[in-house]
Amino acid sequence: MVFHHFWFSYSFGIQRDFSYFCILFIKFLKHIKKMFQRNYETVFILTPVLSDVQIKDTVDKFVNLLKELGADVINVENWGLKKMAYAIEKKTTGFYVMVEFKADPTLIRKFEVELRREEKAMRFLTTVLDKHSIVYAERRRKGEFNKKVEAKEEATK
Amino acid sequence: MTLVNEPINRGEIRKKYCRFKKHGIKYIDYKDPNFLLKFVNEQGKILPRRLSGNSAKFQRKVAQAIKKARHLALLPFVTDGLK
Repeated sequence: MVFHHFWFSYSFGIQRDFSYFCILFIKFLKHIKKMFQRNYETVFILTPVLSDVQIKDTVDKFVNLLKELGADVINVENWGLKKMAYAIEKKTTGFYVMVEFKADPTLIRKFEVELRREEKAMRFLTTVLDKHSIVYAERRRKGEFNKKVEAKEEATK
Repeated sequence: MTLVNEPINRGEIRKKYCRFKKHGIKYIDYKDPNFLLKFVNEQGKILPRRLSGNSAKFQRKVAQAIKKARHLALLPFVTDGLK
């Protein structure tokens, strides 16, 4: 009587060892992981007391952190120094930064912990993008809405 | 006495409509405070559905967007003379 291991019996005559199936399984896991990736958008406000270099360093730090955690950073947008509607930490202005990325949902918690630790960041908000907002975000990135805004600003001037 | 329980300006009755449904807007951006300003009153309160005419679905989305904008200090929680 010939004894077959279970992986041997699935290999249809070609002899495969256990590691082959391990690699297949890992590939499958990666595929599953990619399926669960979602689009996110984070807006955070940095304190206005920083210099330009410090702001750039901080933004780079968070973008690199996202990349290290395994996210695809799609877009980074600096809105510049803006006047806030109310004072946060006794400051009336803030430096707004928006990051769009595609990532695994488990990553968000780690990223937000880092944002909470950072004293330069006064506020942040992460939102999941649904199918309509993904379309909107793409149009926004292409600058379809900027023309209207510019026209409005000219009109008000 | 004939006018009791009847609207005073009968000629001016206009049907309310949801502007999102009419123009086919599917997503309300919380990053655009100038647009959201249409749905708050002078004190920064969210306007009710009976004034803005939004459908229930979009009223919910507008409210969420305004609340997100408030968190990011794009819109105020309380003020006077916003408009």
